[in-house]
Amino acid sequence: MPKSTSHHFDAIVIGAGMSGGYAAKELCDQGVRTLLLERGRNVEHNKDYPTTMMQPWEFTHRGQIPHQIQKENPVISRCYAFREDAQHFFVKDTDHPYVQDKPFDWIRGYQVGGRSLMWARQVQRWSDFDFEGPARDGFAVDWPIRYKDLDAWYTKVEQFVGVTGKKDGLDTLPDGDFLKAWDLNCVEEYFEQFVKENYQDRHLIYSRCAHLTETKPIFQEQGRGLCLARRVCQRGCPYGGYFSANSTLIPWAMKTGNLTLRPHSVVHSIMFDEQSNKASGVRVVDANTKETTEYFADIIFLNAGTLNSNLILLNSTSGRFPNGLGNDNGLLGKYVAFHNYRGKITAIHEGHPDKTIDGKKPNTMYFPRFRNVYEQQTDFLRGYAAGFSSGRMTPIESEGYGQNLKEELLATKEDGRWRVGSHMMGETIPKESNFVSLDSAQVDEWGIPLLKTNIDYDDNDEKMLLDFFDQFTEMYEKAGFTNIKTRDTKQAPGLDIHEMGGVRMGHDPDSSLLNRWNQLHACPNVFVTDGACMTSTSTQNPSLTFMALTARAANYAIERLKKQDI
Amino acid sequence: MKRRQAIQNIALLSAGFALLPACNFEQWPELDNIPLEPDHKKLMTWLTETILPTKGEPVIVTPEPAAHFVLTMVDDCFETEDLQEYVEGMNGFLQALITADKASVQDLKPEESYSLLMSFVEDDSIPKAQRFFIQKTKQLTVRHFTSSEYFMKNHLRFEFVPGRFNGCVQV
Repeated sequence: MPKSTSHHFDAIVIGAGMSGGYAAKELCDQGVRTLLLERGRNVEHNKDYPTTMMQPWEFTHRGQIPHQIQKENPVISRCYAFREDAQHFFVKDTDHPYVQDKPFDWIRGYQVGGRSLMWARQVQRWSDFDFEGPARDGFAVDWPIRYKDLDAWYTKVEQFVGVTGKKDGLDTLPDGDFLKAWDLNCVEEYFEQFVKENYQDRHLIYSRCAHLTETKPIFQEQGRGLCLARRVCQRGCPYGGYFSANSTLIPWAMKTGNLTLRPHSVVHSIMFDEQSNKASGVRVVDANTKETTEYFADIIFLNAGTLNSNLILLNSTSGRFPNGLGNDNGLLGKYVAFHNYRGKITAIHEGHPDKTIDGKKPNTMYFPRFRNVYEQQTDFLRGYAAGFSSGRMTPIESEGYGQNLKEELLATKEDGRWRVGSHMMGETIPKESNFVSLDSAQVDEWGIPLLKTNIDYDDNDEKMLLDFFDQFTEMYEKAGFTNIKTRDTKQAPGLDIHEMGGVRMGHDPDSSLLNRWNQLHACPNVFVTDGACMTSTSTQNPSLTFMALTARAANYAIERLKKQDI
Repeated sequence: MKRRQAIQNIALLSAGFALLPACNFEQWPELDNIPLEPDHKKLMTWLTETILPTKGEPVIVTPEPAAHFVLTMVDDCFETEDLQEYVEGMNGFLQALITADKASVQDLKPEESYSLLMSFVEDDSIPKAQRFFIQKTKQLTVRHFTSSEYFMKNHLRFEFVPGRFNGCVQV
């Protein structure tokens, strides 16, 4: 077909979030005419951040979400960032229903930029302890890549998005290309030192975070300024101080002249051409008019977000693929996993009463996984990473009435104590019984079957949770923290917002969907490089790895395109 | 400080708002679930000011008077049962004032207002809904105060754009 029409492109990218944005950026940079499809509205950097300059006291409900909205939208209301200042970036349950055969809190952001607008910006690399996990411990399938395959791509991504970090020299969490770090506070310094002195195999490090702490020519070219530590990132940052697809990837790709961005484009399915044995393009339903349009391209990048990428493939049926595109082995939608965020611990630190902090910073501290790293130590597989945060306590006394109450309130100040806390980020084991599928009866208003979730915790997760409580209680006690309290949030899977898998990578077409370049084994001009491709989850926040995998796959695709063998 | 407040008040008025508690033309929020007759307005203005007096120093400027904030929060953010109990308590409290011939609360001196409020607070026999009404009004009045610019900047060390982080400084 002629490529001159407005419906033909070299590449189509489905999903304008973090990984889709990265694919578009890589493709456009190298002259590939790319159509970027996004089901939600456009959110332009700076122009569409309506709350970004609002002071806390200017919000009608001081941040709280009204009861009626919470009642009608229980899933999204459980998300920590769904507050008055950023609610417009989150999908409401009522607008996009799905079927929970088992409870799963699906937290979504349907707009250009996706969840990269509201994310927590943590970017820790994987190591070979993570990539070799399934093979060593006998679960899922072996990853078809190792750290050496991704190392240079991690660097490339870090240099483009900007990451504040410190070189820690750990084999469990390889160092990257970092911008300078913010200070540690007194308690972070104290606890870091305590861990160093008391545990050979444990480390508390400065968490690596996608914020600009130094300016460089590349960031100037992107039009981004330094992070000013406001810590209201979820509203969108007018300075471009943290990385989002909106501030960084989309404008960059747009400047090349090779990008066509089409918001309000709900992808119904990927079309398969039986004659060429390739995907021919994408069928799109306009979100507003409901009109169906077809777009064609040589290669397709599927980056709709883990579960929506599963949904699109499952819904892409043809004579050749009656059970979903690339699904010859029946494993599409299966082996979905996530991170176990159920464990929290809080305490009080009574040391350093005469020290405080001045200003703010957007990140805290990070415990890389220390359980079962070099050998199997416990009765559960794998382990957990954890955060560590601390801050001065400012209790507000409000017992009395009248002038007494006013005087009490006006006496409010830091009381010399510090609150400290950690949360676990546990690796879950991908299993065939944790899966998503399409509802056979119900469709949404665009005629697309509703997604059904069957995802749950298992005994391994329960044991790991108890171990987190034991190990952290012991460390906290030993460090002299008091009033230690542990809490199982009992939250459903999904609220970690780290869902992964369903279209996993692997060596063998019989047991995986994607090859080592993220191509569908059975339809190699389709690349899946968002969370859906993940063979296992490890413990690190996954976005950096999604972007590195995307950059790697996109450059492979470009090579193939240039050689005209895809 | 006074000069600054005067400027801010002018700015507010010129922007089309009338948020000064003393103004007769002040715009009350539109509520879906709470009755807002003149008596209710008088009651809420009196009660919030009696619970937590804001007149005098320090001058605390807020986007809305405490009474407006309290009613907006109750109307929008309370669960149905709590909302019903609040309204029941509010009406009961108002009726109790009328019965005690204290309905003209706005004419009371601050000490008299305080004594009247405490006669309810310290009376273990008042109906549960009235106690709930007083408690919730107090909680939200305190929240209005503690989320004000003055309180956040002076007592919670809030800075919107700090642009720096020094991790370990002497108190």
